[in-house]
Amino acid sequence: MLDSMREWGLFLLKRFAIFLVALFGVSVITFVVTHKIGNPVYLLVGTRYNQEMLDNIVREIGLDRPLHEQYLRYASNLLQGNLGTSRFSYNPVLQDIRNRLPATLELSTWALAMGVLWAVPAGVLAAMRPRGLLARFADLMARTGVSMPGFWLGLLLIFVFFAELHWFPAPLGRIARSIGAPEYVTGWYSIDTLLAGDHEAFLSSVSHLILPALTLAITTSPSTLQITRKRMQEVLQSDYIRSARAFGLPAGVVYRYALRNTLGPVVTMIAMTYGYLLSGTVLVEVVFTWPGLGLYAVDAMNHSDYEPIMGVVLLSSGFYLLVYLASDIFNALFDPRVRTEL
Amino acid sequence: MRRSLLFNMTFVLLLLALLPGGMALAQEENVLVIAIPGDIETLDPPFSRFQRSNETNLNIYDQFFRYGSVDTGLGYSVADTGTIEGAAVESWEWSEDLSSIVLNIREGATFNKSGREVTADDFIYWFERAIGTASGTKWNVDTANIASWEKTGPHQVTLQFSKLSPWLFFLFRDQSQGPMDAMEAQANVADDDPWAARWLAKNDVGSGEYYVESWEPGVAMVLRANPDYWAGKAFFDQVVLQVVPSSADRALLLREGEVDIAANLSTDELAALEGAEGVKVLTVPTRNQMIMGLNVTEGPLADARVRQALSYAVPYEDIIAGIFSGKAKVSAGPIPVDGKHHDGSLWPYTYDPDKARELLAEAGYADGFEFTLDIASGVATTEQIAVVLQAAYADVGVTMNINLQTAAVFGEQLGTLGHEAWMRDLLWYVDDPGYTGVATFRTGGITNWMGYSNARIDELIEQMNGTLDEELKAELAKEYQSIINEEAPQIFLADMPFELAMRDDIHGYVQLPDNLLWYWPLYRESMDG
Repeated sequence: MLDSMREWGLFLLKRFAIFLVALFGVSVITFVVTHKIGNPVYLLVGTRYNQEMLDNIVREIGLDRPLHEQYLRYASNLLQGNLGTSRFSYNPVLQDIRNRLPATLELSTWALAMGVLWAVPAGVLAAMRPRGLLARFADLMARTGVSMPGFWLGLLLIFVFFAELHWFPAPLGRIARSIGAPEYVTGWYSIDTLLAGDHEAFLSSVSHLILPALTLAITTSPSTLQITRKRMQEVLQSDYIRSARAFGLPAGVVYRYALRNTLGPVVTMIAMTYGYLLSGTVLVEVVFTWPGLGLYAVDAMNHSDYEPIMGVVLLSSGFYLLVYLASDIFNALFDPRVRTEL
Repeated sequence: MRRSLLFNMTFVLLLLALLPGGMALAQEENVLVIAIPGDIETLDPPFSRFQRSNETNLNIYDQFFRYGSVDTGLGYSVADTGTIEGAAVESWEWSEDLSSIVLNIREGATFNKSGREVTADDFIYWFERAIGTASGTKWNVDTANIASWEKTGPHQVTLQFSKLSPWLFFLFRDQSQGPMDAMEAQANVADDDPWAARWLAKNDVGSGEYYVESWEPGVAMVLRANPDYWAGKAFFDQVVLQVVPSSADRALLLREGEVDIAANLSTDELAALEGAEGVKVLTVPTRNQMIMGLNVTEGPLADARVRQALSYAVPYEDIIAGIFSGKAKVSAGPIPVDGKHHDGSLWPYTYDPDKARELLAEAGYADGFEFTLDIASGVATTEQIAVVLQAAYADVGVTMNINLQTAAVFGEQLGTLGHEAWMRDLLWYVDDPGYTGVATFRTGGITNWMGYSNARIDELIEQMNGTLDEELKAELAKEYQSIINEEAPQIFLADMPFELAMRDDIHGYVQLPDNLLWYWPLYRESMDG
């Protein structure tokens, strides 16, 4: 018991240490890269300035200091939970991110749910009957999803389902403008409208969610589908499953064992997909005017606004790393070898 | 009691019956929806440097002056830069020697949010804030040669000039030149923010045609018409600035009638919309020049003959036809074709590769040379023109490398003379050759990104800016154009049109010199009655 606790303690300590080192690395790389893509001062002053104005802004932003000094100041602010301030809107980046994050989380989670609900059962069934119709269909969907850029698929869905069929509303944000945002509880409109008991608003928010979530689900689920299928096939051909079959165990029990042993890499892949979704919805957010972190980052990039860019990259990387951490812990729960591998 | 109720009901029914047919008690509001590519950066005019915030500030602050307009008969009007009208300033009187001006502030005009009357104190605060924030408005104050300002009455301010101020009206109709509610601004200062810049970035305190009713960052800003605007309430009660980052979406939403105007569409999307049902595309000539600037301080480009050769090697007509579908004009010199005192007869260049080779040989570059053109990434037009130029220059033996840069790097290198050659557009919203000269061709000018210097040009610019005699200015402008054409520090590629796609029932468009959309004159035909 004591050994097991020590093993867990050591495992968690190592994983957190890796998490922190990676986060530090991300902060350094992001800082250096954004500060090397050009001096934003000239964009800030436009074409009406003199040297005095230019010098004032340089001093105000701190660009007159050596890069390492600028980083230390940035890192010290980070440790105090301060991600800086947008140079255009004067908004604290943390506040902006807090406002935008629920939109991205809601979209990513819906997309993940749609993708997993389709990809995992389809992968399992395709593995059980590799030459069946479903396996072929799953294969086609996986290839389509992999080869189609998200923004293009998004535009296609908008054209078909909004412009041609009028089944879905215009790609203008999260809810109809005439209805307006629900009272803030979770920041997820699909939940907050339900909590408010406003069915019209709920339907509006869901109808705005479906196409962007579907776009992301189609483009991100193929990897989950493929890994589920491949892993399940491997497990079904393994000795212990063959033995179980030879001993006459019922098919349901055999498949349950097989599925349990398939789950490890599938969970890791789902975690990776979620991490990707939280940071990789930029183009889909642009296409569907989804006011999440991606759109925020695009606006910041268009204005070379360092702080929001660094804030979003750091947060996305943090998410990614957290999701990995969670998946490692989840795998360690099922497979004790994982705890000692590090 | 019952009789009274009956009387009241009869009275209401009678009133309803007397109302005009088309008028209902709760009349639907006139709403204009404009799809814009990105959020509004700031509501603080002095710090507004991008098109979106410039446009919003133009409409929510009442500028000192405005231009009159002329109907072109082509379905839109254009600002007449020769006619200055009062806006926040109702009238003015110059001193005899033109060394000062008395500004009479419009009485009875009120700030949208506080309802307080606009007074001289607000104008004085505006000047103090311009200087205190060292922002773009300070540059306008300096460039207008304003030495001091004084309150000379509750609704009167007098300005003193350090020297003649030929551009006062042009600069003070700019979107950044609108008085703000001084009391509101001062009530929101902080220890580290004495000019309330943080607060004003998010809050409007103007007296313009519209005010901000709501703002959901990244989604939409809703403007509401000022019911008491001195020139009358705008037709559209509400203007919705809907953020739609994808230009393909903006075009689609316009086509579907979900929005009334789609801003910032690409040339291809505009072409695709022409002829679409219910949509019209306005193509308006502007003084927006596409320019290739050459760093004249070193290397082969320091030789005027090389720069002339590059000017001769440009297939101007191909660019106009191929890239602008024939809608642009060959710039023909440093003053735009539609600019004051432009003289096209002084323009010596036509596409002549033989002449270009001859000049290169004369300059000692018979075997050609190599240089790099920097352009900011993401601007399709400059990329397309750069490719055409690359091929044309290769034809005369010159290798031009195209280098795409981020906007920040590109901007930084412009300011520090880091480019060998650059290409971008420059919009001359002040229609005066003296102004463009000061900015671009005077030694050390703010947009003199070529390192160009010529004593005679400096002198001519000084003379043009020292006179209000337009005949004399025209004479000076001739010599100015001849020298710039001859020395070719820039290659003037095209005067580009401004194109805007909108629903065909939207009317009243007025083209302003800065290509900003003015909402106040717009109306919808079907509701116009």
